[in-house]
Amino acid sequence: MGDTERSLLSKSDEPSSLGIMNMKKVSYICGWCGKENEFTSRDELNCIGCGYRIFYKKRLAGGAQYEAR
Amino acid sequence: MHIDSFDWAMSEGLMHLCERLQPCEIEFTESVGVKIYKYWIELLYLGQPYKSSAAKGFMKELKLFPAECRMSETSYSASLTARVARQIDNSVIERFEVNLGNFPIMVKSEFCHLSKLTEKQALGVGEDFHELGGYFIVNGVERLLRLLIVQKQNYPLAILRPAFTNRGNLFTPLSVIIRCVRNDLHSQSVTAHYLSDGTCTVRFILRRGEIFIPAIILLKCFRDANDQEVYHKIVRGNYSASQNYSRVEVLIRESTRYSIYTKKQALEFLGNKCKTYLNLPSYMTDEQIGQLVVTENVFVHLDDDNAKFELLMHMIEKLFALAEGEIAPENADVLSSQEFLLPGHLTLNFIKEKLEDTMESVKARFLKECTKLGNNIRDSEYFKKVFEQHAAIGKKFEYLLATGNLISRTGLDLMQTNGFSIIADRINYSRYTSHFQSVHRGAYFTEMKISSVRKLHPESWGFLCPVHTPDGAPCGLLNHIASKCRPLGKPIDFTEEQFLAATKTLETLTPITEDITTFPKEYIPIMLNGRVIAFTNSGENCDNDLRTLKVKGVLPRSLEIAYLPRKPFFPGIYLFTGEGRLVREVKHLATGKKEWIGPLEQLNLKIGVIDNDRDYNTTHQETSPLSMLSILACCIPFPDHNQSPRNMYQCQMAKQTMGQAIYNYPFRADNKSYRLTTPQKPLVNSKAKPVRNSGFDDYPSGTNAVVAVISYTGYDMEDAMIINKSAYERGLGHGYVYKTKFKEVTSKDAKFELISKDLSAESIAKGLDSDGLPYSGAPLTNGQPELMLYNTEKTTNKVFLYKDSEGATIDDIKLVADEQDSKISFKYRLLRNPIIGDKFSSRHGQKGVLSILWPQEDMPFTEQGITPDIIINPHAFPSRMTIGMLIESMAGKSGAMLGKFQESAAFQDFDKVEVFGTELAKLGFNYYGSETMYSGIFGNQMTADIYIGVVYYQRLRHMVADKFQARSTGPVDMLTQQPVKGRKKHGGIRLGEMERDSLLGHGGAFMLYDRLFKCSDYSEGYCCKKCGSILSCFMKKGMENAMCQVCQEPGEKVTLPFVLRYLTNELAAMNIKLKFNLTEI
Amino acid sequence: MDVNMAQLKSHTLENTQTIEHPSSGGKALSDIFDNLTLEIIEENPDDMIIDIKGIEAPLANALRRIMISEVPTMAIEDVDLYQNTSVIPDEVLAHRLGLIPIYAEPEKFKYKTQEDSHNGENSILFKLHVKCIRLQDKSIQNENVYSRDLIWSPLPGQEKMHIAPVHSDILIAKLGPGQEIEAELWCEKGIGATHTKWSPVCTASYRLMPSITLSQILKGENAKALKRKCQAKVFDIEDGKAIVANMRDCTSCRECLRDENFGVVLGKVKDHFIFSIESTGILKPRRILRDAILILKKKARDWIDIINVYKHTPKS
Repeated sequence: MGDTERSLLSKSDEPSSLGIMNMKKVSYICGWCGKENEFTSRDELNCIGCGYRIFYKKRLAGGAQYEAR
Repeated sequence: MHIDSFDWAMSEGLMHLCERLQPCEIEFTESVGVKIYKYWIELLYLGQPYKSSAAKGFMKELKLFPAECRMSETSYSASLTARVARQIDNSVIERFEVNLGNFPIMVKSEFCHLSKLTEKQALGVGEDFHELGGYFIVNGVERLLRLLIVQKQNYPLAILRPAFTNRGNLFTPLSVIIRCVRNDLHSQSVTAHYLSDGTCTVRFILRRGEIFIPAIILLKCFRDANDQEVYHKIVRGNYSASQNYSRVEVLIRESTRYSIYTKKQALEFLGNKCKTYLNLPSYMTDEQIGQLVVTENVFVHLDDDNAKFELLMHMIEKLFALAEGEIAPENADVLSSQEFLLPGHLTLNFIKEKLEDTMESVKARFLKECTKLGNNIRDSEYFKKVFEQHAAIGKKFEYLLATGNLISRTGLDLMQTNGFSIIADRINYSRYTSHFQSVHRGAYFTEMKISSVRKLHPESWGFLCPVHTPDGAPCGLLNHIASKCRPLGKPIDFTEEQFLAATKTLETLTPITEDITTFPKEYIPIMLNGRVIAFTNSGENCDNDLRTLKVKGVLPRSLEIAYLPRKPFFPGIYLFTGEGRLVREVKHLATGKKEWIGPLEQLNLKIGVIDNDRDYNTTHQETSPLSMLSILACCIPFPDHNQSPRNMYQCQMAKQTMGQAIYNYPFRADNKSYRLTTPQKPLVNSKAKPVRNSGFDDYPSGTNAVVAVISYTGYDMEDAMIINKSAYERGLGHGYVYKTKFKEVTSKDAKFELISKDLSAESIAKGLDSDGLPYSGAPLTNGQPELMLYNTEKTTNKVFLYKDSEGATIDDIKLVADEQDSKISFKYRLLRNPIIGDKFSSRHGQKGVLSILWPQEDMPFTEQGITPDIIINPHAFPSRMTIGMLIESMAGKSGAMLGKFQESAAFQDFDKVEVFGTELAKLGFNYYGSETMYSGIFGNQMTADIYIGVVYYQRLRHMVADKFQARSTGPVDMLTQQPVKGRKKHGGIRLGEMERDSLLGHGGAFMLYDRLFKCSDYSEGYCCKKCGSILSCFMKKGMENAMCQVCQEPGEKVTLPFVLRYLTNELAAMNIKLKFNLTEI
Repeated sequence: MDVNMAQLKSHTLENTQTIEHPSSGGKALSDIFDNLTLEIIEENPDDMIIDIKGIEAPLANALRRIMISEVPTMAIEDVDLYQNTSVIPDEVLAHRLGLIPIYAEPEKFKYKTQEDSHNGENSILFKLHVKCIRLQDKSIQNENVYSRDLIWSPLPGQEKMHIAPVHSDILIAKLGPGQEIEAELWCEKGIGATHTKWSPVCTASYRLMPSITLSQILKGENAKALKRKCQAKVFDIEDGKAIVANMRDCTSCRECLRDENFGVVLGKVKDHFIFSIESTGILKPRRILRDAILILKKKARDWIDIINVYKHTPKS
C-alpha cells in the first residue's frame, strides 16, 4: 500500500519528502526550439540553444487530485 | 481586403506619397547672402520585423514572429526608413537614411514573415493554421483599423443641404460636391454652390481656411477661356425650356465685376486670396501662388488644367440642371455615393500628414536655431538628428492603433477623431471574422438624433448585409459587408490613354480632343475617375459596348461602369478604377460570364435574384440569392423562415458564444479566452460557399442537442431552459476559460528579482516551487500564495497571493524577457461547466438561461426511450415566430438518424416540412416532428404530442460565475461609511430611489430602515440637548458620559447615518450650524 | 370506449390518463398479482426486451426509474494525476476517465463514506501511465491512449476478482511525442442518481403496447397503399385484404392516420408495457432488472416498516 499513499504536494505537510523531490533545479523549456534551460538569475534568460527569450515552465511529475465528474 | 490595402499603401502608396510631398525650403542668411536650404523625402520603405538586437552569442538577426509579440506584450513592428535629400543653394544633392521609428506591421501583409509561410510552416512558428491576418499587434493586443465610409471619390455629387444657406449671402441649399482623391490618397473636396442670383461659387479648404471663389474666375484660372466658349459649353445648344442660358450670362458677367479677363489676372486674384493661409517663401508672386493652389488644392486628382476646366464645366452644368429641377438631388447617405476607406488607406493618409508635420517642424527648428547655429547649419549629422527627433511616426501610429484616437492637424478629411481601431477579440471565430467585415458609418453619426443615416437603403443591396447590424445605439451605423462584396484595396493600374486605346474601335464614343471639346446636348459625358474624357450620343449602346469589353477582359475586370441614363440622374457614363470601391460578382447574361459590379453601376442594371426573376430586359443574374447576406447571416439555418429581428439577434449572439476560437492556445496570451470542451459541427448547416469559406466547420461553437418543446415542471417558464442532468454529467456544454495575467518582475525601476537562490527553502514551505513560481498544473484557491519574489531593496522575500475568489488551475507559466524587463505570464484555467443561470441560445435569437439540472429519470421519454437534453417552453414561439428553429429541429432529427448534414441555406425553394417530414416518416417518426412522450415522473403517456428534435445549441459567454454579486458586510466608503459599489470591490447592490419608492408603497418601513440605515452607514453619537449640536458632544478619556464642550451639558446618545455627520461637518466648515431638536418617540 | 385503451388520433391523444378515485374501489391487490405477467421477448448480452402486463404506469415507471438511477455499479471517482502533459486539461481528463464503464461486481463492494479511506472493500485501483515517444524509425508510439491502457492493480482481498474496463477501445486522449499521462484511478461504488457514470443503463424505458384495428375492409390498391405507408411494416395483405400483422412494431408515427380514408384506429393498451433495457455492459440486463425489482421491494418493505411504526405509535 505504500505506493498508493504517495503524498500529494498540495496536501502534504512533510517537508523532508518534498525537499527530496524538489532539490533538482527547475527547468524551463524554450518556446522556440524546445530545449530545456536552467537559470539562476534573470540575466540568463536566453535560450542556450537559440537565444529565444520566452520560456515555458516545465510541468513536473507531481500530484493533484481530481474528482472524475 | 485589409491586407491588400496595406500592401498597396506601404509599397506603391508610399512611392506616390514621396513623389507628391512638397519639398521644404528655408531661407537663411549667411555671410554671403540669402541662401535657400531645400530638403525633401525621396523614398520611404518599410522593412520586415526583426528583433532589435540579437541575444548575446547569436549574431544572426532573428526574425520577429507575431506569436512572440502576443506572448510578450510587445508590438509587431518593423523599421520605417526614409531617404531624405538635401540641397543647399543649388549645390550638390546630399542623401541621408533617416529612421522614422518602428512602424506597426499588419499581420500576414507582405511585410509580415507569415505571408511567405505555408499553413504547416505557420504552425511551426506558433500560429493558428487558419490565421487570416489583417490586424496589428500593439503591446500584445490584436487591434485592427475599422473600415470607414467616405464619399465616393472623383464623382460630382448633387447635394441639397439646407445648412448651406449659412455659408454666406445669396447661398442656396443646392450644390455639387466632388471629393477629389489623388494617387497618394490625398483627398480634397471641392463644392460648387448655387447662388440665388443664378451664379455659382466654388468652395474649397486650404489649410483649415475656407476659400470661396466665383466659378468663372476659377475657370479662368485653368485656361484663358473666352466667354463664348464658357457659354456654349454649359448651354450646349439647348435653348428650349431652360433658363440655363440666362444663368450662364449672369455667371459670365461676374467676371467683369471683378475686372478679371485673363488667366494671369485670375491666378493673381486667387493667389492673393490664399497667400495668408500658406506659409510660403517671400519671393513667390501672387500668380505663382495662385498656380500652386490650382495645382495642389483644386481638383487634386487631375494633373492638367484643361481637365480641371472641363470638370468644373461639368459640375456647373450639373449644378444648373439641379437648380432647374431637371435632376434630383443625390443622397450622400446611400452606398451608391459612398466608398470605403480601408486600413491601408488610412495608414497612408496618416503617414502623409505626419511626414508633412515633420518637414514643417524641422523647418521651424531650423528657423529657430539658425542664428545660433551659424556654420553648423550645413552639418549633415545635425540635420539627420533633427529629422529623427521630429519623425517618430511609428510611435504615433502605434498610439492611433492602441487608443483609436486620431491626433491630427487636418483631421484627414474625416468626420471623426476617435474610434478608429478596435480589438480583434477571439471569443469565437464568428466574432473574430466579423470584425474584419464590419463597417462603421463614423463616430460622428452616433450622436445624431435623426435616423436617416441608419436607414437600410436599397442601394446597399448585395454590398451591405441587411440583417447583420446590432440593435440599440449602433443600429444601422455599424454594418457588415455581404458575403460576396469585396472592397478593393488597391486602384486598378489603368490610365486614360489605356482606356482610349482599348475603346478606339468603338463608334459609339467620341473622345475629347484639343479641337473638339464642346458637344451638343444629345451627347452625354463619359468620365473616367472624375475626368471628362469623351462624349457619346447613344448612352445605352456605349454602355453595352464598354460592358462587353469589360467582361471580355479588354477593360479591367473590376472597372465600375456606371451608366446613368436619364432623370433623376444627371446623364452620363461614369467610370471608376480607384481604390476603396466595393465590387461584387454577378453573372452577365449576354456573355454568360462573371462580372464585377459596383454600387453606382448597380443602380441601372437589371439583375435577376432567382431564376424566375428574368424578363426581357434583365441583363444580369445574381450568382446566388445568399450573396445579399453577410457570412454570419448566411450561417443561420433557414433564416427566411424567421421573423427578421430574430435573425438580427442571432447575428449578435453568434458573436458571444463559447467555442473553439483558436487552436494555438499555448502560443497566445489573451486576457480572457473561452473554450468549449466538446464542440460539434452543426448537423443542420449550409454547404453554400460563403458558409464553407467562413471556416466555421473548423471552429465550431456549440452542440447538437436533443430539444423538446414542452412546458414541463415550470422550470422552463419565461425563457428558462432545463438541461438533462445526465447529459450535463456526460459533458453537455462543458467549457473553460483561460485568463492570462502578467507580472512584471524587473524593469528599470523595479525592485524585485526573479529566480534567486535565497528563495527555495521558503517558497517550498509556502507550496511554491524552488524558483518562487507555482508548479505548472497546480490548482490555486483564493488567498493561496502564487508567487514569491526577492526584494532587492529590502533584501526580503515577498509573497504574492492569488486574489480571485474563483479557484483556478495554472495552465502554464512563462518567463518572458526582453531588453528592458522580464515578466512572468500566468495562464490560469477556470473550469466553467454550466451552472444555473448560465446563458444558452439556439441559432435563432432564442436565448434562455439554465434554470435547473433535471435528473434523467424525471425527464419525459419517447417511445424509443430518448430523453431530451434540453427542454424549452412552447411559449417561446408564438410571438417570436422563429419557424426556422422548428424546421431546424426536424432537419436535425432526420439528419442525426440518417447520419448526414442537412442543407439549411436561406432562400431554398422547396417545402421544408414536406422534405424533412417525409424523411422522418420513412424513419418511423411522426411526419410533423412531434412524438408521443411519457412523463418521467408519473409514467403515463402525456396528453399532448411533444415536438422534439435536434437543435444546435450555443453556450453564450455570459456566465453566472463572472456576474454574481452578494455581500453581507464588506468594504465601506471612507468618507460616508456607506458600502462601496462594484462587484470587483466586493461592494453592495444599490437600493435606489425607485426601489425605495416601491418599499414605501408596500409599507415596508422597517425594511427600509434596515436597508438604508442599519445595513448602510449606521453610527452612534451624542447630541447636546441644549445647543442641538452633534459636533460638540464627545467623550473624553475617563468620562462616563459625553459632554457638550460648549454648553457643558451631558449629551444624549443618538443613532444617525454617518453621512449626516459628514454633512454637518461640511456645513460647519461653511459657517452653517445644524441644530437638532431631540424629542422622545 | 375502452377505459384501458389510450386513443391516438392524427394530431391528438385521448384517454391517456386513468384517474381512479379512491372511493371507486379500484383493484384488489390480489387481482393485480393474479394478472401480472412478465415475459422476456428478446435477450442479448447488452440489451433485452420484456413485456410486463397487468400493472399500472406508476409501478412500471418506478422500475424504470430505479434501473436508471438507483442500481449501483462501480465507476472511477478519484483521479490522482501525477503527470499530464497532454493537450487535455486535467479536469477534462478526469471527467473523461470517470465515464469509462468498469466491469466489476458491485455487490462485492461497500459504499465508501467520506471518512473511509480507499481500501479493498470499497475501492478498485487502476493505474494509467502512457508516454508517447518517437521511435528511431520516426514512427510514433503511444499516440492514442485507450481504455485498455488502464491497468488494474488489485488491492488486498481482491486477488480473485476479475476487473477491467468493459470496452478496451475507448479513446481517452491523444498524445504527441514527449507527452505523458500518469495517474492512479480509484473506482467507488455509487448510483446513477449521484452521477450518471454510475448508471448501469444507457437507457431503460418502456412503451405501451399498440393496439391497431381497421374500421373497414381495405382491398386492392388501398390495401397496398396502407402497407406501403407504414415503415414499421405493421400492415400486410392477406387474401387481398389489409390486415394488421405486426402490431408490436408500431412506432406510433401515425402515418396511417394522416390519410383518413384508411380507417385505421390506433390505440395503446395502458397496462401492457414493453420494456427495453440497454446495459452499459457492466451488468447483464437481466441482472439490472433483478436488482431493480429487489430495490423496489426493499423500498416497499421500508414503507411497510414506517407504516407499522406509525400504526403502533399511540395517538396523542
